[in-house]
Amino acid sequence: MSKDVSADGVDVEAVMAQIRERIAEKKRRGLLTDEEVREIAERPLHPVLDAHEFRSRLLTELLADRERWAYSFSPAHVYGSSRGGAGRLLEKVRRLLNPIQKLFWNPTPMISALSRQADLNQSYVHLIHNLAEELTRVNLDVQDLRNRVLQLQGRLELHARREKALEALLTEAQAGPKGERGRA
Amino acid sequence: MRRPVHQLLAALSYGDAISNEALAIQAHLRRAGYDSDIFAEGVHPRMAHLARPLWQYPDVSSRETVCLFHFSIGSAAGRLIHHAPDRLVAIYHNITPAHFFLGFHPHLAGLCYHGRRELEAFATRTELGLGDSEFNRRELEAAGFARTGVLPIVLDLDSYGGPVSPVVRRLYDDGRRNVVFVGRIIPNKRIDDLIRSFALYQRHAEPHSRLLLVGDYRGHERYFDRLRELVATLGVQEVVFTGHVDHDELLACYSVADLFLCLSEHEGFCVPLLEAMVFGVPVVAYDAGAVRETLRGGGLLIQDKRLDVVAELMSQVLADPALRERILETQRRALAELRATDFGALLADRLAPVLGTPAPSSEARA
Repeated sequence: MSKDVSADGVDVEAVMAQIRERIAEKKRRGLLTDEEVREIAERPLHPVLDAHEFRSRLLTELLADRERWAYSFSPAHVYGSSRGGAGRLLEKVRRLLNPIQKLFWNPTPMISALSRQADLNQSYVHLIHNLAEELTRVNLDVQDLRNRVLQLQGRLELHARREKALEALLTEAQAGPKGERGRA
Repeated sequence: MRRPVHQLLAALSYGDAISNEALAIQAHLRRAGYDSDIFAEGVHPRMAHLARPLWQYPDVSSRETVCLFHFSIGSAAGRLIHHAPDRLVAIYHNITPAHFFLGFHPHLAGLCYHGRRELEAFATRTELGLGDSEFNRRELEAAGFARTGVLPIVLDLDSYGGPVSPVVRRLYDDGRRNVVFVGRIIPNKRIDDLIRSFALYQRHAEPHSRLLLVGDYRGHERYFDRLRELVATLGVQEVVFTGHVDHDELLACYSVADLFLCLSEHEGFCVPLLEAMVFGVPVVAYDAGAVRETLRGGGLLIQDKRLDVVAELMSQVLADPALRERILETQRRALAELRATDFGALLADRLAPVLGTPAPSSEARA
């Protein structure tokens, strides 16, 4: 008995031999290829919806490079230096020269704007995070609704076909007795 | 006073095989002189006069009462009976392994996972576990049930002689080859494999064909949507998802069927296989779960689900009248065996270990 198919009282070996022969013949004639069978068999059935219209890595990329946007800014930063001991001396000189510098331009609005920007960045990231979440959810909802529309469309088509079948039956039923009368 | 042997179900539905089995059991028990009612959490309006609400069960519950509990996952009926003093018989219709639902229905996957653990919790509480197939009985044994047996679902074959829906019959009896599957549209039934095999069959054997998928998909829309996508990407024509159908429509679907194809990978019994045989539709089925047992030697069983082989087999069965007749002959033999089954005697025999013995003392039960 063939290991592919079994049945009590049916010559399965003969059936399978015929089937193998027909498959081989189709392959010889190029009607059926292993690629085609493989392509159909391996066509995935994704269980989870993918919100593909939204670039979900955007938020991950932003959060990965935290230093770029999550900075703190205070008025002392404009005098600061990263050059160690020499830097501390430089900082003192800058502070001493501050009144003279103020004769040329006023750094206070810039300092205040950058401080506000640092605070805003924190809020923006929070906002983007929430928006990304919402957008993903909305995207999935849209896909879900689209699917439901297609489902309804399918049902509608089925109902339309049923309606036609029903109409045909009614027409036949109405025509039937007349025909019988005519024959009589 | 008549001895009480009641049944407990999660739901008594209209046209459902388990509900019909419960009603058949009740009829036999009543005929045998037992006081037998059905208690259910949910009752279909058409069945309202046949069942009592679950909340009335404590009125009949006692140490003398024998309760036949149709095991179902996460049900209030299960929680109620687990803590009741009644003598308990579990009738097990199987739980689909959780992995089939992962991704498609995570909640149900969780329920199925916990359902199997719940079944184990019933093992020590139950005097007897009855599976509706040997496959299910083995699962009961694996879950730790000490005393087990098989009580197969026996169909009320007369119910298939009713009128068929003329509209549905008209709709699909149009000269196309109808390949039919009946069952819920859920992942373990591998509807996707049916579509894939049918795609090959339609492309290379019979373009004038239809795949009729008769079954409810409500609650499994995610899987259903993916299937429709698959149909669209494979470019298969005439794949019809009927959704839930009434009994006369179901009969019409069988009456227009040229072949019943089942590629399900997990079945605890699979009533539609028997239904197809009743309608003289040749059955080709994948040998998984209890399918072999249910077919009782009828139909063609596939051990290897190679798409090209399945498609060619469909073509062969549909095109070769002699082969078709030989398959139908095997099915007629299986049906004759089924018809010869005396369900009343079988039920009495299976319940004898419980009904034939007095209630054990509370010490013995503890």
